[in-house]
This record gives sequence, C-alpha cells and structure tokens, in this order.
Amino acid sequence: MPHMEETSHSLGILWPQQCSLFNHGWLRNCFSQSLGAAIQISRGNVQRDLPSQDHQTWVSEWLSQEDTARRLIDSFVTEMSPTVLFSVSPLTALHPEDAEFFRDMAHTHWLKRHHIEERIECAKIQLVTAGELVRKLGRVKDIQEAIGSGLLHLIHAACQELADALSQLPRSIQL
Amino acid sequence: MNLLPRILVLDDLFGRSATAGTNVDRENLCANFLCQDTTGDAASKSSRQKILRPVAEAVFCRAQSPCIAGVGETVVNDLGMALEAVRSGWPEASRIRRGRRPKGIPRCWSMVLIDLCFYTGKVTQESHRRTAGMPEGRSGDDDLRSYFGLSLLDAIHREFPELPIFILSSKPREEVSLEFSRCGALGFIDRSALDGPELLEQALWNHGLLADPTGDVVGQSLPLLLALREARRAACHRENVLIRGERGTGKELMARYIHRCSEPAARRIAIHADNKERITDTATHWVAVNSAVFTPNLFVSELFGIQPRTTSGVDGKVGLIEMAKGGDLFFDEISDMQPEVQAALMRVLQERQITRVGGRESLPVDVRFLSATNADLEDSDHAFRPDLLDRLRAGGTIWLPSLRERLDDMPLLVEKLVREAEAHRPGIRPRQVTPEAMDRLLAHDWPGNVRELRGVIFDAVTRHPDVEHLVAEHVRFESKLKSQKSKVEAGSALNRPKAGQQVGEPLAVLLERMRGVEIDSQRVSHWAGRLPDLQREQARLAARLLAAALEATKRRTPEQPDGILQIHPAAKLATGDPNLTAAKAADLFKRLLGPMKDELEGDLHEAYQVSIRLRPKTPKSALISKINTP
Repeated sequence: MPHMEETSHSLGILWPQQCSLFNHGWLRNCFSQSLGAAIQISRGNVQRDLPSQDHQTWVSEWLSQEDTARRLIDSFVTEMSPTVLFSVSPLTALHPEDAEFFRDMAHTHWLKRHHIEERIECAKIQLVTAGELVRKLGRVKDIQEAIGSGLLHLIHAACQELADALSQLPRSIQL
Repeated sequence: MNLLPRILVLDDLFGRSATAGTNVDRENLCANFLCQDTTGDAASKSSRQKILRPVAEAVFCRAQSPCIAGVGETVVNDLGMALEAVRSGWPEASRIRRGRRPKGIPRCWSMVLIDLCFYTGKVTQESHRRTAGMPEGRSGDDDLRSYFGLSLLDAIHREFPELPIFILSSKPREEVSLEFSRCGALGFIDRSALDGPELLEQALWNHGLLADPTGDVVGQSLPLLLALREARRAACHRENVLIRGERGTGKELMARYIHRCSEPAARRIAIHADNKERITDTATHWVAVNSAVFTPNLFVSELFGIQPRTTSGVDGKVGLIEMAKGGDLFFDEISDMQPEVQAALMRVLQERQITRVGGRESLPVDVRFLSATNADLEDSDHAFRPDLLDRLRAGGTIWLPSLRERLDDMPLLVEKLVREAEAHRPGIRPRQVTPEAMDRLLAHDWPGNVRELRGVIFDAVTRHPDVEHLVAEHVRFESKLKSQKSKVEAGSALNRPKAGQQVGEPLAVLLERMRGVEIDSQRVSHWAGRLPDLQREQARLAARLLAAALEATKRRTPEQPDGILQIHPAAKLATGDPNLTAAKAADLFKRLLGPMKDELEGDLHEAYQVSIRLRPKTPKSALISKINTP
C-alpha cells in the first residue's frame, strides 16, 4: 500500500508520459520499426545492406531500455493509484482518519476494478519473454542466422505483446 | 507514366528532417509499409534503401516548426504547414479555367495519413540523444482529449472533405475510434503491424483516390478518381450498379473497370501496373448488350435462351443471362428498353431465376446487372419503371464526370488518342501537340465528351498524316464540320459494329443531319454529278445497319459461341416490322446489299449469299429500280 509521501513521481516526469516515451516513442516507433524493416529486407521487398553484426545493435538497444520498462511496470501502482489524489485538494481537507479509510478503500477498488494486478503480471511476463528472445538473438552468429531462425519475427511479436500489455494499464489516475 | 498511389504522411517523428541527413525511423517505416520516400528533403535524398515493389509513394511532413530542430530549440505544432502540404497535392478542378493549359498541376494525394500524438517543447540533450531533433514533450501532447493529430484531422477534413484521411498511429485504436470517426477519418492503420503493406493497400483500395493502372480509363483528375473509387467499392459486392453520365463519358469502360475490379486477385493488381495481362483477362463472364436491340418479339429468347427439343428439332440457344452466369451483364442505354423487356427484367430481378423459352425448369440467376444511361430516367416522359430503376441501382449509382469537369485530364487523353490515331494508320508520322492546339482543345465545351474528343483528334491526325506537330489549325470541332463532312465515320462503312458499341446516338444525329441537308446552293459544281456518291454512301450506311442487326440477332449456342446468322430476325429488327415474312426479309437483304455485292465481307457476304439462295429471282422492286436507273 503506497503512502502519500511515496507518491513523489520518482521517475522525474509523470508516469503516463514516461510510459508513452518508452512504449510509443521507442518500442513501437523505433525498435519494432527497425525489426519490421529487417523482416521486409529479408523477404526481398526492400533492397538495403544489412551489416552482418546488425543484430547486436538491437541487443544493446534493448538492454539499454529494458530497465526503463521494468521500472515503469514496478512503479505503476505507486504512481497511478488513486491514493495520490488524497495528497492534493480537495481530499486533503478530509480528517486524517477518514482520509486513510477512504484511501485504502479507493486503492482496493481500483486494483479490482481495473484488474491492475493481472495486467501488471501480464506486462512482466511479456517483458521477460521479450528479454529472453533478445538475449537469444545476442548469441546467434550473424544477421542471416537471426533471419533464418525466425527469431526476428518472434521478437517483433513479443515486443507487440509487451507494448499492448503496457497500453492496457490505465493512463490517467482514476478512482 | 507513374501511377503509383501518392500519400502524404503528417507525423512528427517520421516527418522531421535531421541535421545529419538520414532519418532512420522514416527509412524503417518506409520499409515496413513498402513506401517509396519522395519527400525530396535531405532525409529522403540520403536514404540507403530501395523499395522493390512499392505500394505507394510517400511524402512526409512534420507539421511542426522548425522542421530541423537542434538542442535548445523549441518545437511547436504548425497547422498552417500541414494545410499547405495538403494543398500542394490537391488540384481543385475549378482552378483549371477554360483556355488555360493545366501545366504543372500536381497529382492528387491518394490518401493522407495522420499521426495522433505530436511531441512539442524544448529539444534537450536527453531528448536529442534518444531521438535526434525530437523535443522532450509536454504533458498535454499525449492526452487523447488534446491530440494535435485530431486537430489536424478536423481542419483538413473541413477544408478538403473529399480527401481520404486515415490515422497512422501506434496508439491503441479503441482509445480514439470515436474521436477520429467524428473528425472525418476513414480508418486507422496500426503503425507497428507487421502486415503494414497489406493494411495500407487495403485502405488505398477501399478509400484511396487511384488512377487505373492499366491505362484503359485515362485520367488522374479528382472527379474521375472519385468515380473510380465508387466503382471499386461497387466491385466489392454483387448488387446491381447503375452508371450515369453524359454521352461519350465512357460508361461501358467504367462498367468494365467494375468487372475487372471484382476479380479476387484484383486488389493488388488494381494498384500496380506490373501485370496488365492478369487485369485484362478476367476469369468471370462479361456480356455487354445495347438495350435497344431487345424488341418485344425477340427479347425473351435473347435474354432467357431457348430450350433445345430433340423431338421437334428445335435448336437450343443460350440466353444472355445464362451467358453472364457468375459474372456481369451490362445493359447499355437502358432508357431504350421497351416496356415489355422492362417487365420481364423486373421479374428476373425479383425472382432471381429464369426459364428458357420452351423449357420447364427454372434456372437460378447468378448475375450482377450493370446498367448505363445518359437519360433522366426519373422523368416520367421516359416511361421507365421506377421499381426496376431501384433494383438496377440497388448497389449504388456511379456518376461519370463530363469532359468539361475533368479538363485536367485533357493532356493525358489527347496524348493517348493521338497515339491511337497514329497507330490506326500505318506509316503516319508521330507528332507532338503544340501548346496552342492544347489551348484550343481546352477552350471547347465538349458536349460529346471523350468520344467527341476522339473524333476531333482522329480527324486532325488523319487529315495531316505527314507532319510532326498537331497545331491549333488542325483542330476542327463538330459544329464547323457540319457543312464539310461527307462521311460520318472514318474507315470502311462496312465495319461491323462491335458488341455493346453505342450506335443509337450517332445514328440519330446522322439522320437529323441528313434531314437538314440543303443542296440548293447556286454553285452547281458542288452537287452536280454527286448522285452516285450519295447512293453509294446510303447503301454503305444501310449495310452497316444490317450488319449490326445480324450481329444482334445471332443465335448463340455453347457449341457456337460466336453465333449463327439469322437474316429473318435481323430484317425484323432492322425494319421494326414484326410481321415481315422470311421471303421479304431475303428480298430486303438482296435489294440493299446487291449494289455493293463485290465489296461485301464476313457476315454481310454470308447473309447476301443466303438471301440469293432463298430468293433466286429478282424482286419486283429491284426490277422497277433497274428500269428507272439509266
């Protein structure tokens, strides 16, 4: 159960904005696009040189962003629970005992009503799945092997699943 | 000619130009959607890839200022820039004034794709490190209640209501589906989907403004592209479609386009011009017929066919509806359809089954009826059944623009027609059309539309076979030809009309002109000694009419799909006399074709020989004619 003093937006900017930067700004629009382009090149629809060690770029990019994803998922409840509303007007006017009661009730309702725990669990699983596949990519010899093994398709699909799972989390603080 | 669909993409990430040149994100997007980047900015010029089988050409616009942003600069949304980008590919037909050449007019956007979330604010070291030139973003940027993409959509749709717009976003569709529908978007494409090319292709097929890549329907003007889109939409279902437009606007051509686009493999090939053979050879049946050929006596067997009878020796005949099974039956000029035929067709449309003449078994009808008319069928003077009209347009009405409404297409049409005219006459010199000639063509009213243009171009080319330029002086319009023309059509008068060819209109015009011809001028040299010429041309015209009647009344069977000549029904049809006897029919053929028997070919030659065999004696009327002829 988060307390008022813990809802300090520890990520520096608001959670939805941070999540959007990761999910749309990077995962869908950059990383997935890059994988998708490589798949089209491998299908022979696009003519472009793919350096043989290009797959290692994806691996290092993923590793640099993976922690952000983990922190977003882990901090979601703290940042987006309706409990944060009790630290700002008008709910600050409540008697402290009433506030605590209502805060706990609002939080419990929010968890159930939006299936928060299931959604968070789903996002965690997708993050682990995608991470494992990317690490597997890091172990293949070259880009040709990565394409031939179908690993790029699997990673692309896993990233889509992860992005969808993150999109399922509420983007505004709701009672 | 490049007929690849041209799309405009309004997106902050993919539209930005980077100081370093290459926009890797845009390059990847183009690869994912198989789009050829033709923006022309530094990013597109430095692209390292080639799309081998592109779905579309894409022009990118950031819709933000500045286009190239460095660290420390502030990025703001720019609605004006976006609208200007849209205007640059939206040639309004009204801008093309008569008499002015449509030079330098850009092709229409086939579609505009708009992103939802546009990040604004200061470009910081951190945001620049993440993605070059991108700002850190403001809290309202990613709020679905205030997406700049929706504001763009609203503004563009208000100014360009005909322009097809799609959302191209990585955001969840369900979050904004109501908003984008309200603002006028036609759909949503998930930017990160792996089947991007298929999604884009489908969106273009259903909603895009696409030219006909086969070149059969010539033109890229907005009114024509809108009509083609309606036709593609009509091709998606099997409901009957009515095509309306002035004479000479290409109604049968449009019907054929619908038929072609109905093929299962048509979607891909409707966009790409790289497999023309597959487009022109459709697998399903196509039957075209002029509604005027159905007389009250003939239509039943023509439409429904005849049941063969082994006992009585009656040969079977496949009706037009059966011939079109699984495909399309095209009725041209339905305003000429007799009331009896309308009633019979109404029953077919209601019951969806037919019975052959002399048959008992009902056969299911699996045919789509495509109809065309230039008449105001709703006008009570036409006596066209309103209930039939409703059924014939159950799948929609496609209105074809007149040539006056699509003057943007004049250069393309003229180019094609000039080449056709040159090909028509071997040895002729290839030529260019001068700007003055084009101006003259653009200044004309074109009541006869593309058919009239074709006549004017063919006239200009065939009269001047040995020149390299088609100049303004070569262009003669119908009104000025009235007193000069001795022949209505170029080429042999005995050419058999092709199936479905519109003959009613030119014939009516010709008869009207013939009635109005006055030869009582003072200059005797103009008409002296011309009687044999008049007689010869009259005979040729009559022969051509008989050829059309023979073609229309051929008995078609599965064994002989080209048909068997029947001079008796043909004579009945041509004369309009249902009581004409077989002997009189043979006499008619002998009398009309006799004066030119040495020139006869094909069906007419065969019909003449049959009539000679049937009636070896010279008819009285011919004897009288001989006596009177010096």
